[in-house]
Amino acid sequence: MPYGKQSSDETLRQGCLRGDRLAQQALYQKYYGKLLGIPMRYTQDREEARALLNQAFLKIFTALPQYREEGSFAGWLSTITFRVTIDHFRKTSRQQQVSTTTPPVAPAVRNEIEAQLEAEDIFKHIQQLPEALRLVFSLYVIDGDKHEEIAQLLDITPGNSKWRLAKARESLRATLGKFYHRNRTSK
Amino acid sequence: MKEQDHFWEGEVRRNVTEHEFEFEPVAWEEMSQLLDQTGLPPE
Repeated sequence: MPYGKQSSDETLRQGCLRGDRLAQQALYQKYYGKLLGIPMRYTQDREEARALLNQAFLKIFTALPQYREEGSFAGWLSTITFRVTIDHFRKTSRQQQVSTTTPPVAPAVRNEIEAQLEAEDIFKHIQQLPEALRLVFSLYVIDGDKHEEIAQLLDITPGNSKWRLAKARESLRATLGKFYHRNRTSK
Repeated sequence: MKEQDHFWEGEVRRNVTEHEFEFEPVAWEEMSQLLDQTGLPPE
């Protein structure tokens, strides 16, 4: 049976349940672009994000028999991708090591102040934050978690979460904040 | 938090959550290898 991005979620899901590699490929291709943004805002580069997304898809294919049609299928895929991403950092505990003297980040991306800021430039700025700051910034600002929830997820204190957020904001305000403020006032 | 912070962070959130990356064929190649290694049935 031919599958494509235009195939319905249910058609793809049924194909995947039968272990059809073409259905798996079509489901992967259909949601790749949207789901990659989740690990991209927590990792330091696209390769790491892609590896995590593939781990998430492995979980998705394995868990498909347990999927119940409660809420959207896309939402279910996003939830699994988010959990796999955060679990990765909880397991590695790399984010625990943060210096209190973390230097300000100097992004090496092109001078977007003079150019149009593209969405992928924003990801690059976030990725250039030290990991400990990036995780808290993305959890709080992008995914809307509260400091108490972040503290529990990352096994840190709420106070430490607030400190990390302040440091991340300090770095990003100088670049992204400046860009948006300038764009806003020039309109 | 200042109103100015709300503004730029809202813009960052909107851009990040709405952005859709282009599909990369190499990604599926890696995924396909992963499926082969883990024993999920190819067909």
